[in-house]
Amino acid sequence: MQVLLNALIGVNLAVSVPLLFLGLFTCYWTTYAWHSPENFDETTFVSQRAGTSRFSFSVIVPVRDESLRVMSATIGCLLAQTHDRVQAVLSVGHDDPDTLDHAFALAKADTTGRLTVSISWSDVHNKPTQLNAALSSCTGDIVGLLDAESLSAPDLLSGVDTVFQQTGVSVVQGGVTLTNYRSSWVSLRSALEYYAHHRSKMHFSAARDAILMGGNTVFFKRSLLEELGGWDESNLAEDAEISLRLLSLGHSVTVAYDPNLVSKEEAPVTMRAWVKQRTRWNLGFLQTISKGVWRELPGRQRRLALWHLLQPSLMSFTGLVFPLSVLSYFLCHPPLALAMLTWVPLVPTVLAVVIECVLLRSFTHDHGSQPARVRDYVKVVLSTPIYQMMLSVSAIRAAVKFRRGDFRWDKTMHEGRHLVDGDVQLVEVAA
Amino acid sequence: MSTVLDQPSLHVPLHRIPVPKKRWWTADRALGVALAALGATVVAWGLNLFPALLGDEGIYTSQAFSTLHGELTPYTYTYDHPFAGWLQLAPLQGLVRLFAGNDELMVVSGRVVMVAYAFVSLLFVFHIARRLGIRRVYAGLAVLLLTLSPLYITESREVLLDNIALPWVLGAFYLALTPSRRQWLYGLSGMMFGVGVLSKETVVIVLPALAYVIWTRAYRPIRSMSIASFVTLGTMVVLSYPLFALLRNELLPGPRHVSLWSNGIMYQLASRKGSGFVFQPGSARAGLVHQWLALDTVILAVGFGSAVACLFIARVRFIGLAIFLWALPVLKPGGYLPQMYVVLVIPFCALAAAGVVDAVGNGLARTRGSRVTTRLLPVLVAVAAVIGLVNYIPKVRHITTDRGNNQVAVTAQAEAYLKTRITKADNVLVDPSYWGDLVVAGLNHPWQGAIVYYQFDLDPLSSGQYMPQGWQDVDYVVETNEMRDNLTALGLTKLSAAIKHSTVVARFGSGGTLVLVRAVEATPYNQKGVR
Repeated sequence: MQVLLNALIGVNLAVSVPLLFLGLFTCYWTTYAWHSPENFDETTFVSQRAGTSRFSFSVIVPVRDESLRVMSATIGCLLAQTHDRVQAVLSVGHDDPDTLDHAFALAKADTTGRLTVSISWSDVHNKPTQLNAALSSCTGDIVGLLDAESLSAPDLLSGVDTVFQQTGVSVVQGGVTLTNYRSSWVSLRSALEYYAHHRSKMHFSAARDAILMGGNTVFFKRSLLEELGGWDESNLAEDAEISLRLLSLGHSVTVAYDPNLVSKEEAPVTMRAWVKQRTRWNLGFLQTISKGVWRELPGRQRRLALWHLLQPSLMSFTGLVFPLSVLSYFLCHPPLALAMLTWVPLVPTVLAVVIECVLLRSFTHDHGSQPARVRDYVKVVLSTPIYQMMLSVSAIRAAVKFRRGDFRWDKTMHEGRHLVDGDVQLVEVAA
Repeated sequence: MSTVLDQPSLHVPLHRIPVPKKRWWTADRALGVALAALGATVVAWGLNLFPALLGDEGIYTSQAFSTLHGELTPYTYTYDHPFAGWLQLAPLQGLVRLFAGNDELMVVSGRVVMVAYAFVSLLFVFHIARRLGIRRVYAGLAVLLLTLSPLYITESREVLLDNIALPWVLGAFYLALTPSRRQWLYGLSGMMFGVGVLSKETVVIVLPALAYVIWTRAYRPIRSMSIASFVTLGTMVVLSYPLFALLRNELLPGPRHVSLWSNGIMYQLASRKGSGFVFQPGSARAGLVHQWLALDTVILAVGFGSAVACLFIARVRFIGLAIFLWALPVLKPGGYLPQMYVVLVIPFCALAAAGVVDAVGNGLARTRGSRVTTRLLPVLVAVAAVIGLVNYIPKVRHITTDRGNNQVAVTAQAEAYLKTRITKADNVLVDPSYWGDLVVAGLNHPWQGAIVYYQFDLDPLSSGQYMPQGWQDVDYVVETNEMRDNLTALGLTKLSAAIKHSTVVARFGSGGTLVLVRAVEATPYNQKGVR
């Protein structure tokens, strides 16, 4: 029995100490944009429009089981861009008749002639196959990706054009924000996570050439995509996978986060939807790890890329350590110094909650919405334990699916909660 | 927010621009180290002669000694102060004794450690001044002012928790004044302040001044994040103390155990004997202030005068704020005020003076056609410094060379006598300053051999377990001035009884250093009765 109790303390310590460092590094990463005045100014991208646009754009919008309302809002925003050379490519699967109908209806209603419908004939239903199918229809110098429910800012493409001109890079990652953060605490948490990711973490990674891009509001030189042979059709995290291939070829990515140019998206509202989405991401990360492109990166880049892929799963353990600490304290009565040590991971955990609250303040400020209410802060603080558990559940689910080889595209349903009346009207005019 | 530019500017991320490497060893660093070393030398010079040993010094050194042997205190830890102070003292004191050997009084080893703390504090004073943009000459004079202040030298020699907390507090201010305004430096500042508070809780009084520094100096767009890391990390450090109490099941009062709440917080804030009102002649508070002023009127007068001026100079406003915050408990009627409370304010007084002189220099430089006065200012300050020096020299000489009141020598004699006279089986009630040395000499159990005199009355283990017969269990009492004072102040009735039933067998020193070794009459319970 005593052996078991000692083992419990041992496990507790063995988990606590690495978790402390993981937690502290996560806090460091999350707050990167606020580390110093230099970091803040450098990551605060205010788009400066060049006098003339230089590039033409093709923006792919992959859709599946999508409603006409959501699609028309997305396409409407694209066609209303201030940039003058824009091709919108709606990518639909051949086995999705309703969405096909919607796409053709939109194409028919389009008076600009800039909307193309691309049909994917692949029997595998996932995002990368649709992207690859649409790539062959693209004519622009630059290929952009926009999720089916993303509302792009009118100046987005002009801004991105300028960034391409000024930096000379081949890839630009734009910002995404989740606007329905007041729908539920789940969406609030998701919105903050997106904000931290695009406003801060991505800058840290981009500065070290170890960025894993998202699959939304990303822009590539078309020649580069064709050279790479498009996206990996067997991978659920095709965005992370293509990032690794770009990095291994020595390309840099510029992150451009301007609150005025972010794409507006819908956050999952229910715990169920959130876990589903997160499981899919984790599963994609696991696939990407097993494919092994990250091994081709040099030293520090490799470690950082691996950290990106593993971090969500690793952090899910934080949720488990405190019950363990309490249990081992009451069962084993360890020496005081050891007992205190097992509580140390509480420091980054509390720090993370405080950081979330500051992020909430900064997020509402950046996006010009009303200041966060007290109950929003309360939601953030109180939801922490459940959120930790949801992280753990998604990590475990992904691991189980990975073992089973279950890689179906478990798509998040879009309810159109990010659409406000103004958006829909605009589109009805366009449609 | 988008701005329209005609020419696109090349967007090069800052992290790709090579930054010229800053030299670490600069004239400032060299001067700071030199001045702090000078100050530390003055503090060290004759530290075993002056001032007289304070009871608290014995307490902290013996607690540090116990910490090295696995216990926080020789007796029950009563949460009188958080223990971070003597936790730091313990290894350093052990290191000093490694070189000095066991013949050196433990309190003197503790005082040697205080020299190191003084060095770091003085270094921080110089660099805080420099970070405030104060000219090098005035920053240096601030350190010199401290080096020559009898009050500063006297206080910084004593083994006090306040002296241990001081570099942490000054370090927190130094970091908060960071020119790079990095977020994690504010977090570090919070942690340093937290350690300061856990070293001596009274330093928390200057927290608003530190908060003011961060609020006004942090980079506006990232200020909320900077404050968040300061507050969170500082709080987490401080919360480790209640967590410690909680894990020992001593956070809240309960039967048969001490608690942080009742023995720590409520004792210090409510039940400790008050020191009266400062403007009431004869009160303990008035006595303390008089005592401080007697040691050094100049630094306190200059400091408080400058503090008023500081409030009108944005750059150094926080210094004035810190000084007046410090003064609040002094002006408060009632509540306990300890003698060493003054330690915290002295460096701020020096900084305030330097800040004001520098601001006056700036003002003169701005007015036209006053080159003469601009040049004159350093001369005037130098003259003032010389006058001050002449005023100080006798006092400083007294502090560094006075042998007339050599309590350390008397204590050493008394200890030598006791070591030959008593055995492990005797129960000897002694000052905390004797305790560690006698334990090292082999009288090792806290309840047998050397016993701290007030624990005989106050620790529940005394009457409950180890010395149930009261004075009849005692063999010797080593009576000191400190003990005579506390006999009535702490109401030590059992000790009084022991003294009443004793005869003087040896005497050392005289006047304030008088030590009487008293043998208690033979009873069935003490060693004399057994023999």
